[in-house]
Amino acid sequence: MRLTNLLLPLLPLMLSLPVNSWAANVSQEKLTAKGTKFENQYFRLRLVPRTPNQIAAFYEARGFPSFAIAEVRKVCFITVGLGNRSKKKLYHDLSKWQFTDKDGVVQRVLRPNWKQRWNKMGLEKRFQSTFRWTLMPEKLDFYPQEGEGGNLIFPRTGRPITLRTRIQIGKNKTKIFEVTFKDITCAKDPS
Amino acid sequence: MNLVRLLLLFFLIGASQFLLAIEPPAKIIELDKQPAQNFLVEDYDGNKYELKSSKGRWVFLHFWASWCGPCRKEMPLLYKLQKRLKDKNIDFVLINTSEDEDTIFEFLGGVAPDLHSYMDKDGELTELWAPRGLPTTFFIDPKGRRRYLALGGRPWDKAEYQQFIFQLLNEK
Repeated sequence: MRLTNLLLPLLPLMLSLPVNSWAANVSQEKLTAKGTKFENQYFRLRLVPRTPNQIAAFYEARGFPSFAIAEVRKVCFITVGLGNRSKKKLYHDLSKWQFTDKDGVVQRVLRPNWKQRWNKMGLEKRFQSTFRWTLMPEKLDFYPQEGEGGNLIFPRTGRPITLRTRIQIGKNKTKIFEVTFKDITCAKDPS
Repeated sequence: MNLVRLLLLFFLIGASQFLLAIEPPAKIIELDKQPAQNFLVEDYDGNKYELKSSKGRWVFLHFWASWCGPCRKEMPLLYKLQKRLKDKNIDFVLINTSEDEDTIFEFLGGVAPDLHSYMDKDGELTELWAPRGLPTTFFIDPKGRRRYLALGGRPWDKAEYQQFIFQLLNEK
């Protein structure tokens, strides 16, 4: 019996499988965080919404000029901490995260937007550099036990945001976790 | 019988290579030995340092900023480590990212007054080296190649880290 004769009846089944599942077993889990923290045996993820006063104090202490402080006060900062607890590599890519509120997709204020904004305002390069270092990396492969963090920045709308995060683990990124943080609100200064 | 001896010899050579191999401690990552790009930096007194001047010596290249919590914690340990390795074949090169003279001077004065740092005034050198975060340490070997990367602040006072550095220094 020829091999093609043997495989032919299996062809419809093979075509119905997702391509990457031929190479490896992909598992995907959809989870919901309680509040602003999530952790399992593979990673921990923490969100901390910052008040305008906290953000202003941080950049003021770094010597940022008042026009830049006024600018950061206008937007919503959420500090993200992500730690790889596994023995494998963890893949992080912000382009795979989704941010929504009751009206639909919420767009982050991205690095190029900040660069354009800061250049227009004439913010010194050293402050722009410090500012970039305080942002969450857009893409990073975390080594086992590595932890990194940084800020995500959104327009300050007052509406709660739902963050759907996506984390992939392992050499072939075969373990996928989608963790949803519901109703995250931008922190306000106490009145 | 000769074959057995030969196999035993191969086994012993293999085992000795295994035992001599440098095993980095936690959160120290082995890099791919790419040549490290040369750079020139200045300290707040105008003293210059160029990476290529360290050829033939190991370089402990450390990026930091006063606003990062782990950097604060690590500085006194770096100072002790530097003192311990004073006469060894390794240069300690600390580079502050994007802060001014006053901030650096005030900060180091508070945590490790005898520690010396160069400045990356506009942050461009740091971006070029692309550390994964701050602080980050690169180990550059005497041939000028990027050999290891330390993730974040490390407990340099611990025996395993000091042993690792001594192993590097004894590398043939």
